[in-house]
Amino acid sequence: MSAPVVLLVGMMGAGKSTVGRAIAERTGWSYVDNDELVKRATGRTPPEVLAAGGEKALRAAESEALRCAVSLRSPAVAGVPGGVVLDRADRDRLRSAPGVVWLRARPDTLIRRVGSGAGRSWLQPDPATAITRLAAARETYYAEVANAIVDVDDRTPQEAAQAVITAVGSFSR
Amino acid sequence: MADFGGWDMPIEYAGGGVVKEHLAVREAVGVFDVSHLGKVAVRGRGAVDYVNRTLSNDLRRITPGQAQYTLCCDSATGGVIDDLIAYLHGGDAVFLVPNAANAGEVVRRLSLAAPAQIEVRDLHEDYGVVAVQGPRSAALLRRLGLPADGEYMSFAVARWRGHDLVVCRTGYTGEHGYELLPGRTDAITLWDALLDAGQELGVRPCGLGARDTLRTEMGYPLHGQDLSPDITPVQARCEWAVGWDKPEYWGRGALLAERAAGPHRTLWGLESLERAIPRPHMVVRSTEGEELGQVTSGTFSPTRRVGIALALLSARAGLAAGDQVVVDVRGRPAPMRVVKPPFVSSSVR
Repeated sequence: MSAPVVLLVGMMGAGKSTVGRAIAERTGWSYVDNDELVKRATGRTPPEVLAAGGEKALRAAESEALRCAVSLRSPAVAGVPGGVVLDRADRDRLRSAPGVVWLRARPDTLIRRVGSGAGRSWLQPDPATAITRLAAARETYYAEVANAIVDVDDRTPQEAAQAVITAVGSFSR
Repeated sequence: MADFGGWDMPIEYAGGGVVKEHLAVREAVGVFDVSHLGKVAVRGRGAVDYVNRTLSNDLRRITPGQAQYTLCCDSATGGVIDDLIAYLHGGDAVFLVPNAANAGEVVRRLSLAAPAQIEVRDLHEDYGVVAVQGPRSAALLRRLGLPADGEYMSFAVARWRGHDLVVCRTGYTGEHGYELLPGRTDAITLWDALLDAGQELGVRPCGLGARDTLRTEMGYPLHGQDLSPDITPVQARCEWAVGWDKPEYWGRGALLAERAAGPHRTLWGLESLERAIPRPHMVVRSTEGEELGQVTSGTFSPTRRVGIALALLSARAGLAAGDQVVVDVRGRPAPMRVVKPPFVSSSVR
C-alpha cells in the first residue's frame, strides 16, 4: 500500500500548516492548505466566504474543503480546519480516511502560539481560558478520527514532520 | 439484578428494557444510578504532580474545574489496571473516579507509592453518582436549578437542597450529559427528583444493559473486556489518554517500546453484515480461515439495528477499515466488516 493522503487535524496553533509544509519539503508530496481547499471547493477564499455568508457559510465551505481533501491524489498532505471535527458527517468522513494524524498540543503551547487571538471572536474576551476549555472539549473528537497522534509541544516543526512521516509509514505498511 | 464488582445493579428497569432505555438516552434523557463507581481523593502538597507522575494522561492539558480520562497502567507491563476520570481541583487536589471492581487496587497502588505528605483517601461510599445523559439532559438539570452550561469535560460544585453537589459534564454514552456526585444521604432524593422533574421530558431510569449498548456504540472500552492488565492502551486505541512526552508515569518504558515497535494486536470495530450478533470471546477469523483474535465486547446496536463488536485482532493480518472478517457465532460463520469505532458519531458537546 502506498502512502495515503495525510490529513493533519488539531487545534488552531497546533502547527498544521507549518508541519504540513515541512512534510512536503521532506517528502516531495504536494501540500494543500485549507485556504486553498476552500478556494477549490467554493471558488472563494475563506475571508470572502465569511464576509458573504457568516460563520455558518464558512463551516459549510470547510466541509466542502474536507471532501476535496480526502479525495486528493496521493501522496499528498493537507491541513484540516480545527473546527471540522464538530460536525458529525465530517467526523464520519475523516474516520474512514486512513491517513488522519492529530497534531496534539498542550493548552500552554496553543496559548503561546495563538497569542491574543485577534480576529477570532470565539476566543474573546479571555483567549487562554477559551483555548484550554476548547482543547479539553474537542479532545474526544480528535481521538475519534485520528489514526496516529503526534505531540508537538517539545518538537520543532521539522521533528514533528518526521514523527508524522514515521507514523504514516507504520500504518501504510 | 446482577452482581457488578460487588454491587447489586439493575440490568434494566421494570416497564423499560434495554432498547427503550437506550433510545431514551439517544432521543430524550436517561438517568443511571452508577454509585458503584469508585471515588478517591488525592491531596496534599504536590498531589497534582504525584498523580501526573503515576497515571498516564497529562494533567498539564487541563486547568482546575476540568476533568480528564486517564489510565492506571502497570509499571512493568503497561497493561491497564483501570481506566478512570480525574477531576482537577484547585489547591493541589485530584478527585478520581475509577471502576467499582478496581477502586481498591487503584487506591492500593497510589497509596503505596505516595510521598508522606500526600493523602490517598478511599471515599467509595461517601458519594453517590447519578448520570443524566441525553439531548434533554440540560433541560432536566435546569428544572432542578442545577448549572447546565459547562463545557464538555468541565465540572462545578453547586448547592442543592442545602448540600454540595458536584455537577460534571462527563458521561459514558456519547450524548450530551452530566454525572452528578451527591453526598450519600442525598443520592436517593436526587434520583427521585430527577425522575419526577423529567416526566414531561420523557426521562427513563436506565440499567447496566443500556449503559453497555450505549458505550459499545461509541467504541468506549469497558475494563475487564476491552481493557485489562493484559491489554495495553497502545493495543486498545487509547494512545490519546497517554501523555507521551511526560518524563514519568506508570508503564512508560513498556508503552514507549510497544508504540515504537507497533502493537501485535489492535482493537477494531466489527459490524455484522447479516443478522448475527457477536458476543465476547467469539473467535474472529480472516476470510481464508486464519485465526485473528477474539471479540471483547459485542451486542446488538439499537441505534444502527445491526450486530456490532469490539475485537482485539492480530496486527499480522494488516487489517484496514472496510476489510471483511468472519466471526464464529455459535458454530456458524458470520461475515462482518472491519470499521474504526465509533459505530455512532458522538454528540457529547
